[in-house]
Amino acid sequence: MAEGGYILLVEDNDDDVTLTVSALKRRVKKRVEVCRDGPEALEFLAAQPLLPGLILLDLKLPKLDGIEVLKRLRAEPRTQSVPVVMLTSSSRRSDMDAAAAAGANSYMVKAVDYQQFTKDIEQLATRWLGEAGA
Amino acid sequence: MQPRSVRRKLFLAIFGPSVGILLLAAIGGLWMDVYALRRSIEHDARIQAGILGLALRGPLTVEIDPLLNELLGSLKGDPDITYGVVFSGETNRVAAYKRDRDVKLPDRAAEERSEQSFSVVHPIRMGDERIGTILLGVSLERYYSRLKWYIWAAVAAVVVLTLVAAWVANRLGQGLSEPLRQLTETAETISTKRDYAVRAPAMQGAEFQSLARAFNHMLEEIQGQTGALTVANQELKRANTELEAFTYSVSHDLRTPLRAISGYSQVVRGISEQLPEEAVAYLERIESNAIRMAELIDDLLAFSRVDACPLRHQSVNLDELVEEVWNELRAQNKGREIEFKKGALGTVEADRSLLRQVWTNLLGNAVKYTKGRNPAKIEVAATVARGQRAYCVRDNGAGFEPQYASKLFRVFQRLHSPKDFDGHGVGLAIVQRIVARHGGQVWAEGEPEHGATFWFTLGQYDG
Repeated sequence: MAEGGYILLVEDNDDDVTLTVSALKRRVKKRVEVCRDGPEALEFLAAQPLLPGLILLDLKLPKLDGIEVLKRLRAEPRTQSVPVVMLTSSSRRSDMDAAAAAGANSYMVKAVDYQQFTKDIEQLATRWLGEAGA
Repeated sequence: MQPRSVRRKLFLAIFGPSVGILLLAAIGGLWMDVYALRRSIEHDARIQAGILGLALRGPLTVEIDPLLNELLGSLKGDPDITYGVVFSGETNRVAAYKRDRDVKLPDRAAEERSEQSFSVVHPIRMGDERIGTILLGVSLERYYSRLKWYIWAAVAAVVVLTLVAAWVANRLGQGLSEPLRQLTETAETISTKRDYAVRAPAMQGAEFQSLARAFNHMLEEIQGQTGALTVANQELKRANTELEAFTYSVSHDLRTPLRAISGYSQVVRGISEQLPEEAVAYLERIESNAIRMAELIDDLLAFSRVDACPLRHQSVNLDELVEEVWNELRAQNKGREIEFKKGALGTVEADRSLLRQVWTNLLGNAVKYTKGRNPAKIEVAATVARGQRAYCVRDNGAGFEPQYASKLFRVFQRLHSPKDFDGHGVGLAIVQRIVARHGGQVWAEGEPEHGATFWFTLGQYDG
């Protein structure tokens, strides 16, 4: 498998994990790795010989919050250019600004409507991984 | 013109009259003294002429000239008298005395007066017969030198007393104005530094002491109240921050389970192709309710935010604002045929973004409730209602039952079913909050199926 061959989802909520993975499986033909919090994600990336093609990083995480995890990824030379999209449940201007300042490539508000949610996920994957099915 | 300082006024009030009185006294005294002196010189000369006249009577009768001259020589004792002449007739000089050699003696026994001197005439009688005349010349030299001395003394006294008066007036003025200056300085320190811990210094004089006490007491009150206000303000800020954090976490945490509900029911529908039609319909209902609840949460948060932000007043061109809002609504409802009329609305002082929300909600409602009308008619105008400048939005839509008009503006209160018109009953509540924050009122009139009219005023902020 080449560099960028999988997606890393960092999400603590069980239902969000299940539904996001389900949406990604249906629309994007990529392996999905899941970490439940920031430290786990950082350890996971350090241990992997290959980096993911996209990191979906939840904003509200236990232990380290999403912005802090993002800052650490950007501070580490190996991970500083991996595409990172912040996921959040609610749109708040200050969060978007903080995410952009910390070096997020994009920002996605998780729609309550699951149909909308899967469409948004597909769009993101297409944008950052090339053709979704590739 | 700058007003005169109290100190200057006090100085003038004390100094002016004192110096005036002083000058009057000096001039009056001087005049009286000088007048009296002149009178007494003349009086003395006449007495001397009288006494001499009596003494000269004998020698003049027997014509002993040396004795006459000797007697006249006694005039030497009076420094004011410059000469003495005895006439036996009108012009016949029989004896004379001159203080100095160059004194010119008169030819006739007549009184003369000039600036520098005067003369007195006294008849010499023997019984009823006038046997001669004595003429005494009096110099005013000594009088003038004394007058000069008097004037100098008066000027010196006036100068000295004026200086004393100035010093006293100054001290009194200072005594009155210094406490005022100190109080002013204290007040200025407080107003520039906003330091209410400053106190007026101790002052002299009972009135100033009680003024300082009252002033300091007032400062204590202000200090106490400012402290309380600062605490209350901090509390308010903290409460606001907490409220914001709370609403954020409400919106975040309530959405997560809703997305799970919507997501799982869709996933279930996707998994099984053989679900009974009824089950599919129920799953769809679960999904749409989850979405609806998310929208209600958004609306509720939008409603709570209307109160959270401070008003930013600026001049708002309502004609431009309404055009802008209408163009947006028009773009969102391209399929609809709507006749839109707008009268001149003018300019108001208001918070532009909140006012934009008012027009968006009112015009949005008008568009929504004229669904099915062909053509739909919406009219916007400025008018006078309830004695104030008011703005109205009129439509020919579904209207409402007038007896429920007041319920329109309550949160989550609706007069129509979501089946007929979508929405959650928050838009008009937001309008009501915004208008109330501007000090205005909003009200509505309507008839079922005959359209509705909404009015609002902007109270004191209306230009």
